[in-house]
Formats: sequence, C-alpha cells, structure tokens
Amino acid sequence: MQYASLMACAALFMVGAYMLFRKDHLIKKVLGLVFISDSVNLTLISMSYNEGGVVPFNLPGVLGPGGAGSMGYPLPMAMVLTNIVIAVATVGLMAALMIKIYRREGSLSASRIWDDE
Amino acid sequence: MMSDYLIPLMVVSPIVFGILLNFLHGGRVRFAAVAFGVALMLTVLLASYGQHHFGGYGRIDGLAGGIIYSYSGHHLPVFFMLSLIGLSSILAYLGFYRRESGVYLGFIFLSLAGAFAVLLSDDFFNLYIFFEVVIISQVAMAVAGGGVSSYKSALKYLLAGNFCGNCMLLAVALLLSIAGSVNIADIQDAVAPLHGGSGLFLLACALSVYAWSYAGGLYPFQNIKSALYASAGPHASALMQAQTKMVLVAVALVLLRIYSAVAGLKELMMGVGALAMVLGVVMALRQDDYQRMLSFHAVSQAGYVAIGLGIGSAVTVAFGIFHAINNMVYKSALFYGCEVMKHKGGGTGFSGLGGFMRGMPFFGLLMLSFKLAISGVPPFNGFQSKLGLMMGALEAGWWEIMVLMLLASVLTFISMMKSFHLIFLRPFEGEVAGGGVPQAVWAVLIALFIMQVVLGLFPEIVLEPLMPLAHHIASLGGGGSV
Repeated sequence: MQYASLMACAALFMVGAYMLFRKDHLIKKVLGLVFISDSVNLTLISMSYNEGGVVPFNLPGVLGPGGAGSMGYPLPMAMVLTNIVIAVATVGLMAALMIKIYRREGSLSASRIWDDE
Repeated sequence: MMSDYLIPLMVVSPIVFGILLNFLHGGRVRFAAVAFGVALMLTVLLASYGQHHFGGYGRIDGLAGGIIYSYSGHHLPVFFMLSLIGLSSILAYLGFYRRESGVYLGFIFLSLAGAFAVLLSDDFFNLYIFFEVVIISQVAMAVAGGGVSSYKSALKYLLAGNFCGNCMLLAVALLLSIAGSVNIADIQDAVAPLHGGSGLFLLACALSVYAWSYAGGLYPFQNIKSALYASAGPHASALMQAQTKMVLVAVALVLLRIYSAVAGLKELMMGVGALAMVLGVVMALRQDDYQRMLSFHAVSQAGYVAIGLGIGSAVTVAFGIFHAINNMVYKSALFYGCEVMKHKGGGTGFSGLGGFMRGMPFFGLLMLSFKLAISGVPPFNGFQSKLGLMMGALEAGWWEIMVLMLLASVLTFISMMKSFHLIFLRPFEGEVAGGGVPQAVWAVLIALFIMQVVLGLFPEIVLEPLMPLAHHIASLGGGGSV
C-alpha cells in the first residue's frame, strides 16, 4: 500500500464529510458524497498497488520474471469499476430528485426543504 | 462441488423480470407481473440447498476464487415470506391502481433481487452492491408515491444511504487489506488470529456497524427510514419494511461472523436496537397519520430483531429472525389495510378516518387481529417471538432489555388500540361503504391472517430450520459479551 495515497484518501474523505454534514446547499452535499466515494475508490486502488508490478493482463511480453506475482492485484480494480457504476446511478438519481424539488420549492437549501416536513 | 442453478436464479430471474416489465403495457403488464411473482415463489420453493460458485471457480491459494451464493435451511422461510410479500404488494398495487406501470413493477422485482442477493451472498462486496440496489429501488418505489414530500424524504434517504454504503465499502476495503479476499468465510479465517486487536479491523467494525444501523433503519436513522415508508404507497411500504428486516438480519449475521471477537460489539448492536425500539414506538404514539404511525412501528419492531441478534445467544438469534419473519406478516397486512383505508377514506390522516367497523366489520376484525399480533397478544405469532426474545434476554442476564421490550410492547398495544378506536369504532359522519376492495387484496389479507395464526400456534415450523444457524452464530462469540 502507498501511504501517500492513503493520506490523500483520508483528506478526501474528511473534505467530503465536511461538505455533506456542514454545508446547507444540496448540490454541495452531493459533491461531498462524490468526494467520499472517490476516497473509497482510491483506498481500494492503493491496496492493489504492487511496487514495480505490471498491469494485471496476461499479454505476451508483459509479465516479467516474477510471473503473475509481478501483477498488481486485480480484484480491487474490478471493485472500483463496479463502484463507479453504482455512484453514477446514485448521483444521477439524486440529481433528478433535486431538479424535482427545485421546481416545486424554488430552493435547494437543505434546512429550508427538510424543516418544512 | 455442489451446484444448483436455481440458487443464482433467485437473484437473476427478478432482475430479468424487472427489465422485461419495462417493455410491457396494459393488460400484459398485469398478467406478466403476477406470473413473474408466482414464478419467483416457485423458484424459491424448488431450489435445493447448497452453494453456487459463479464462474465455476474453486479455491485458489486457499481463498475463494469467485462469488459464492449459499442457500441453506434457514433461508427457505425467509425467502418464501419475502416472495409472498412481493407478490402480495404486486396484487395490492394492481388491485388499487388502474394505470399500472411496468417501470414501477420492475423496481419491485429489482428490490426483491437485491434483498435475495444480500441474504444469499457469501461475498462482502457483492453484498454491498445489492445493498445499494435495494436502496435505489426503494427510493424509486417511494418516489412513485408522488408528491414533493416523497421527493424530499427519498433524497434524504438516498444521501444517508450513499454515505453509509461508502462506509460499508471502506470496511470491505480494510478487510480486503487484512484478508486478501472479500469472501466472508475467508475474512473470518483471516481475522481469527487478530482477536479483535487490530486498529484497521476495529475501524472496519465501526464502519460496518454504522452501515448496518442504516440498513435496518435503527438509531440514528429511524426518522429517515420511517419518513420513506410514510411517503410511499402503503403496498410499497409493506414490501420495503419486509426487505429492510431481511437486510438487517443478513448484515447482522455478517457482523457477528466477522467481528464476533470485538469487545462491545454485541452491546452496541443491542443499544442501537433498543433505542430504535423505544424511539420508534414513542414517535408512533405522537402521530396523527395512520401510515406514518405504522412506519414508526416498523422501525420499532426492527429494534426487537436487532436486540435479539445483538444478545447473540442461540435462543435470541433464532427468535430475532423469527420476529423478523412474523413482522413481515402482520406489518405488511397492516400496510395493505392502510391502502384500503386510503382508497376508501380518501387519506390516511386520523381526522379523515372513522366508522369503518360499521361499513366493513370483517375488515375491522382482520385488522384487529393484526394489531393484536404486533402488540404481542396470544395466540398470534407476535406473541411467540416477543416471548422468546424476552425469555432469551432474561436467560442471557439482560433483564433491563427484557423490561424495555415489555414496556415497548405495552406502548405498541396502546398505540394500536388508539388507532383502532379512531379508524373503526369512532362514530363518523361520512358513511364507509362495504364494497370496492379488490378480491386479490382480500385473499392476501386472509392468507396473512392464516399465516399469523399458524405461526402463533406452531412456531417450530420456522424455528426448527433457524436453530442450526442460531447455534453456529452463538458459538462464534460464546453468547453475551466477549
């Protein structure tokens, strides 16, 4: 694992959490969630890092003397790809809901929208 | 390697059904939705116990080579009930809403696929994926309820769900760094030598518990969850609360399998369960809308389940899951009843409801039985599971929890009788006519009534298949605190 990238993950997560919990504007909250999702993806990618390794594709001439052991771990990469798809679906749905709410309420202020309930 | 293709079909077929329903219109949607619902139920009944290894991979270097789905005896009652509630919700929707939507029905099937996969999967990442699928499809079902309030509650639910989902995925990432695999059995083996002592492992545990409390609508998410139930159509709320109970059980079992060595885990699970149980019933007493009241009760009942699993003894685990199944029966019936009231009375606010007993006495008696069942009155199923949970708590030395459960049951009874008086017994100016309830809804209500009586008189039908799992879970942590 790379400690520098893990520090970046932690920083991204904290920025995202700050935006999600402290900002009032719904778009900023959603952006905060995107940051959090990216930080988790980066954490997963950091785990697949193999110093001096090669991409995990068994193409002619790619594998070094270490054989398959020289590859980066492919599982986290597959997980990240899947999570990106999930994140796109969720953010898309949140954006659609925000458009609906804005058309009815004329505002995207969380305190105003949810205090009405 | 034993493989049964009906096991993955329990997840794959509802996804395919959901996609197909998108392309159908009119009468064909009605026929197809019911046929697909029955087909799903048959798949559950016909599947034999075993494991399915996706891709046919075995173990590579001692680790699972792919995603594994496990189907055992304890899955059958849960899956049967979930598919039955799914079919019942479809019938209620088709009975009450004349302009049927294939897209909406598609989301019902997608949510069922998600719930089945969460229960079947022996892979933590796969569980996370279908956990997100359940959230997205539940949001879609709630939004279909219409109105700006449903958009607001759905957005709040989605924001919280996305954050908790990411917490769960981060926990998966941390466990992957420890175990080198996301297979739950492999993780279990890898973390056993840690004895709960690693910082990363403890962080993963905290993140998983947070995600679990969201999955079950427990503290601090009880208001978000109940707002979602209250904003959806009552037939959708019935299905959503049933799925929530199952996801709560599935994730709790994973927590107990992986983190059983973590000191304080079970107390924490019990604590969030107890808070949800008490806060849910107290909030329910304050509501002036019947569907909102039922929504808070759904959260409160999830608290009982969480307590049972949190105590972690064989008795409380078995009765906790049994209570989840029972709750699916009577709580769904109460939501279907709420759908009837909504269509006959023009709304679900108590101020606009009343006089139902005079116009619909049989319906009133059915609803009374479901209200008695949720309150824990014999001979209904709720009595058996609540009694078992209380006895189990007492046996494990948690008499305070037992007293809390008793208190919450009394408050549930008061709340249910209050609503029964307001809706059915109170003299009301507007006349409630007897007809207009679809025959399919009557059939669903009667079937659920029979089921709650049978489970109340013969609880061993469900408890026996649950016991091997309960003993296994109890043996992991030794029961009580670790």
